[in-house]
Amino acid sequence: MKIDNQDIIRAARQLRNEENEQLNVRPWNRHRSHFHVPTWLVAIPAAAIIGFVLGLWTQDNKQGSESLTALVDTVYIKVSDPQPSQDSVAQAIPASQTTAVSRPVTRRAVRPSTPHSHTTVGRPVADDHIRYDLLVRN
Amino acid sequence: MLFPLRLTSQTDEQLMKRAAQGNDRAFEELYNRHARRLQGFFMRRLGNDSDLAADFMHDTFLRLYAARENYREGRNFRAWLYTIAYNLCKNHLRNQLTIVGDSSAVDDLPVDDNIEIELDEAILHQALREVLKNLPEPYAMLFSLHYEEELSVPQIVQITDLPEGTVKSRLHKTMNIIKKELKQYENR
Repeated sequence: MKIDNQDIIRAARQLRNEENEQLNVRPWNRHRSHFHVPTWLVAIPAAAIIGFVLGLWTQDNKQGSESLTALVDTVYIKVSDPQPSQDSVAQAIPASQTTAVSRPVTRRAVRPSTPHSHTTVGRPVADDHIRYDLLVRN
Repeated sequence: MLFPLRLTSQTDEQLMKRAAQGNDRAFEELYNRHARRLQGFFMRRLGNDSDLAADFMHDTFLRLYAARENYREGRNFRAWLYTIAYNLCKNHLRNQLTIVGDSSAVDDLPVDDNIEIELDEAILHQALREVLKNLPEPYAMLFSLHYEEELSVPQIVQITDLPEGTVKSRLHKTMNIIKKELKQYENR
């Protein structure tokens, strides 16, 4: 048959293919460590662990702040108040305040017959020496 | 990107861009696509030394890997790959005193344009194998790049740094040399 340029090119490519097929090509990863973990496989468990730890931490904080208010309903503050002498009371409390708080204390009004040695003026101190006006309720 | 696109469906240039961004799997895909062919190119250009060809092929990809961050978007990947391969070949052959690309004396060789050959296909394969083995440089290199590796003339210009006219005239002359050599097999 007559040979032209195209025949030569076709034959050359056929020879090339035959030669290439017989080659032993080394794999690229032979010299390289090729353990590859997809990004999402790391990101999702990491997010879950971080979320779990964060959740535990915030729960701990909540318990710490709740403990006082959960356990204590009422706080009484006892103030030891020695019975002041009438003179010193008169001296210590200004006149304007005396008139403002001079009404009888509620507890005293409940028990009017209770004998008392002196009149308490200016400070709502009960018989049991507890300052009920300082009672704190939560 | 959490779920990457299938690498096999991407072009060489897209893969190279991803490799430049640090995606090693994209680079491995490029290797799988071109390694065999490149090793064949080295095999034919370096005198059928299979170990040397394998080393040169691997060296080419190692150089490409080292320079992957310099990849410019839009640059033809195969032209870049074969530029590295061509330079490795050229340096190796220069050490062996074989001229590859920059000889002007070879262009003066007279070649007949009107050679007609009649050969059987089986004989053609055998004869062509012999002719290509003995084809002088730089024609052998240009024949390999253009006809065997199927690179275009502009790509060869980029690879060899030769003027386009020189590449074209040498390719034409290469074909005539091959025909002239094949003519001798007509009456065997």
